[in-house]
Amino acid sequence: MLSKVKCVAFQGLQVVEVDVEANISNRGIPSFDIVGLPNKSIEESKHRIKSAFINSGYDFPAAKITVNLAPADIHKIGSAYDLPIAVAIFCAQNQIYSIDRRFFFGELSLDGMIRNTRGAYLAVDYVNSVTGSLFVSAESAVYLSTFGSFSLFPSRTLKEVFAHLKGNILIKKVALVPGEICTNGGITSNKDYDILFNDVIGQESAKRALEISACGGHNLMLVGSPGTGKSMLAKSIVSILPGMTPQEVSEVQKIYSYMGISITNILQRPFRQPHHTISYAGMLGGGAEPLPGEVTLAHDGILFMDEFCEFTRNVLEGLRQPMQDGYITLNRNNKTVRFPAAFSLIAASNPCPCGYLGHPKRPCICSEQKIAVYYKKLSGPLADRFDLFANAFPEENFVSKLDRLADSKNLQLCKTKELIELARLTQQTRLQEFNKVCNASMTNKEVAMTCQMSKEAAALLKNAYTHLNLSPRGYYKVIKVSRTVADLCQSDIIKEEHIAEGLQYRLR
Amino acid sequence: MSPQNYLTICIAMEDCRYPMLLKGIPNPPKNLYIKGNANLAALHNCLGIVGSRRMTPYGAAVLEYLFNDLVCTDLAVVSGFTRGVDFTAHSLAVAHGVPTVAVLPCGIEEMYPYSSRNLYEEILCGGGSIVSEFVGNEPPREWMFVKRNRIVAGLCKAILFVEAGEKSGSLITYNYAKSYSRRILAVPGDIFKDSTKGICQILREGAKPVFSGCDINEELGLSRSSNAFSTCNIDAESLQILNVLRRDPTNFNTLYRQVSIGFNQLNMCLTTLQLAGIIKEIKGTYYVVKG
Repeated sequence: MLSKVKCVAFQGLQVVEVDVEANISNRGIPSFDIVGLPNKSIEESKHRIKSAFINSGYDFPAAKITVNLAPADIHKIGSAYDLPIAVAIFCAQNQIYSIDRRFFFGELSLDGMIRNTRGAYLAVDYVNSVTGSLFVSAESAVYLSTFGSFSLFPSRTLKEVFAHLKGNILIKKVALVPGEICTNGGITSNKDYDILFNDVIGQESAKRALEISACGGHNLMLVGSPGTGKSMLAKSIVSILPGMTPQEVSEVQKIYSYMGISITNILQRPFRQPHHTISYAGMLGGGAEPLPGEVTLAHDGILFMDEFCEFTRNVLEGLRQPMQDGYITLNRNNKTVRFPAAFSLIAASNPCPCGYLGHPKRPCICSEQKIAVYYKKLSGPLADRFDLFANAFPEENFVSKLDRLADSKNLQLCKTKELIELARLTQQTRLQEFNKVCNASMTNKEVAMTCQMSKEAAALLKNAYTHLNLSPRGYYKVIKVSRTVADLCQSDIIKEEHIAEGLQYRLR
Repeated sequence: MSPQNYLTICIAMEDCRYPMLLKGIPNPPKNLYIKGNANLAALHNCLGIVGSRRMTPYGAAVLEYLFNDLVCTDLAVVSGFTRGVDFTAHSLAVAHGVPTVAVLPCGIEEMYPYSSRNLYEEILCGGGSIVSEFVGNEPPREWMFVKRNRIVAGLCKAILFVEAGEKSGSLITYNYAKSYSRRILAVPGDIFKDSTKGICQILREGAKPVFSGCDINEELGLSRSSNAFSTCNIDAESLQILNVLRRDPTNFNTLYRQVSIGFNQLNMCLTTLQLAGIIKEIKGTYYVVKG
């Protein structure tokens, strides 16, 4: 008695279709073997499956059972194989063969309940692309259905699934209206944010730099003395980030599903804030079976690195590749995995180890040597990858300003999120042919092709290039930033004032 | 590039290239080892610029400001080739085409500090000189810095002190300059700051306070060749900015609140003023450095 059901395996974020074959033979000593490079977690599933069978009121066949996970040359990890193996055994036992294009995914508990398992979104995304249907835990199904019209069978228990396969009961498919992502989980109100952009008092220049960063996806370096509000500024960017495109939502969801992290608001861009003691593997991804690191978790969102110069050297240098390419490649002896890592980096740093270099009131007590060592971390190639440099200054009249939060000038400055959304849309349309979504990711060639400047702007830039010692890379960075400034002003061409502003954020 | 790539010239006291002023001090160096321009005697108006290693943005802005008036005079800048004020003085001199003399606290073939090799080359390429009384690769030691300060004081007609803390090494140079009866100039600073404590002491003992490059020219008896910078037509908004910055150099945010100029326009004006070299931004603070 042989049966075959479908399941999926993950290689990084790539999904591979797996056939779970079960053979029940009445000859020989009763046994239960799983072959096809199963991991320890799958070996253990034998015990869960046996108990789940019995506790669901079915007999576990007392025969020689062989389960094969094909293709047999791929390592398989995880507990999501419980359900497909159980179903395969059940089908072999009951001679059910009409289960083509149905995929099973989920871990079993001893009492036969189907549990949430990480990777469900990846599975459903794949199943959808091959027009199959997926049996998955009821809870996962409700969550997944917010992303679109997938063919899902929300299954609470093993008993339910078996009954369905036998034709005794019918599990209702969850199906949503096809098309757009359901915005159900995507409604954002100000309550969702810890810190609102407008909560930050003063710091006009830093806030403006954050706006530009949020709009064009530029990497930003914030420098300032302790207590000036660098961290608060960085965190407040979440409230003005533009919403994600459906494609971006899907990319982010895949990563988080793979890691088994649930997201409360699926339309909000990720914001990751790793501590500066993070290891190389934690930051960039790693492990024998490579798992994504913080750079991948921040994909399509913000990676905020507080105390940037305190991170270990190899972590910082490791950032160079993902910052440049938008992905990270992890090489292991048996495989190479590529994870997406197109984040915008916001780095905050003190101006020196003691923090008071250039402070108007307090003296800096660091030696030249110490300052030089501190800045060495921010090496040339790494510094080159930041488009924006901004200072957070100590607020002199902080207390008096607390009373005047609704200062008119302040309101005029704080571009609303809508303006940023609009500007992001403009960028998307302009960069559509290059398959890019924001100005920061433009190559020099694309800059030359898409960024038109007025005559005065070009003259100003040329003047600045010679007088301010810009490097060729710095030259293009200024254009990119100016392009975003122009987008925020709804201007088709880059004008003189946009270049003038762009020049204020260069590295000095 | 290492110092060995440049030819070393040794001039003894009897050499006609040996600077006259230096010859007059109580214990002049017997030999001077020089790379670059060896004819130090031809430099008649040497101005020593001395100050703290830990220069604040104020010090940097002051030097920038003073150099705008020194450009067209017959002057040479002497300093000690150390971080902070000395380096800034040398590099500004190179940038403005003023001859500059760097006096090393170590053997002439030694590069100290090593990170300064770019400036080392710039000085030599710009026609300046690197000077030391020590031969070979001798590394710097504490007593050599004192000896070095003696030469800086000895070479110059006048010494300008820019920033000096309470126990600054600049005060050693000051004592030498005093005993050689050199003219002593000092730039006043914020009296509350540590970086001004040494300057306060120098001023109290009767140094001439310096408020502009013209004060220095006057002291050295130099006249600035008529090349007053063309006042580029400054618009009303830029004038407003300059007025605020003249009163108190400040950062962007404070400036923004003090002027009645929109965000974009302010950026525009600041960039234009920076490009025209009228203001300079150092560590986030804008200073007026011209006019």
